[in-house]
Amino acid sequence: MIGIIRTISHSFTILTIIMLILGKLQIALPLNNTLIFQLFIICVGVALLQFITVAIFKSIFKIDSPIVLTILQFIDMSAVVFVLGGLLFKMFDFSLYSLVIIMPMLIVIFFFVFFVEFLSLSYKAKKINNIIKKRNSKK
Amino acid sequence: MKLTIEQSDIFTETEINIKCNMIDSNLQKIIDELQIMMFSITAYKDGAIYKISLDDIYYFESVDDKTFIYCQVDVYECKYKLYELENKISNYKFTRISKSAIINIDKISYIKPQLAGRLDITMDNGEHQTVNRHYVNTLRMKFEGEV
Repeated sequence: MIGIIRTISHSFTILTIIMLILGKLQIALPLNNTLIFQLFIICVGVALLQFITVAIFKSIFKIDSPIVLTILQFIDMSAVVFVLGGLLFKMFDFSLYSLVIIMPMLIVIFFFVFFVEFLSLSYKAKKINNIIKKRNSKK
Repeated sequence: MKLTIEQSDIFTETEINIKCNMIDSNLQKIIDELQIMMFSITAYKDGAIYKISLDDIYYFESVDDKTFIYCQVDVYECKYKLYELENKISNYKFTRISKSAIINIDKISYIKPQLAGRLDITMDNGEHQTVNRHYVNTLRMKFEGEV
């Protein structure tokens, strides 16, 4: 549960910042209350679908490869953005131009969230390794 | 702190008595270590029964509804389910790292981050274990003495 909330907060923050920049550059619609709420719903949808997909692939298909799961998570994110953002919220139309703009955005957001989470994990690993080092020096 | 050891042939069983005004953190550490040394688990291997001290156990793993005890070299079977073990030994240096494994944090050599929010653990005997992303914070808190 904490993992899902963390993913939502990371992706929502990054997505909002990117949309703000794109809005200022007049590439996307300027941010307003409705758009921010829709972005939040998309982030929640992505996190939930990723959680369900990973659980299904692990328990039913016994697939546990981090690379496969990472690719699946990217597919989940793209699907939610196109279904919720495109079809439901009408944030963009399904033209080639939209795809050319949105796909690089999705890749940037995905890898940025991925990078932030990896940094956080590296920090935790470093803290634990320091405790192990101290413990071993006492032995 | 005063340490008194009485050694004699009249004693048939080793007994440890602690006399103190209050249990401080140093004394608690000694008690914890003693409890780990005294606590043993019944294990089975090749039809023989063994008593394995918690201190000798690297990790427990559940495979096909059976629970196995992994020591430095040897592997034993254990009659407890993983959740039963978790309840019994979580006060000691053991913590769950995935749905199928409980690890002795004293036997961890180092930790590396992996993809998909996981950690790769290298044990003192060179074996590797993976910490599922849901258990990363529990492991960190265990090391920091919060659990």
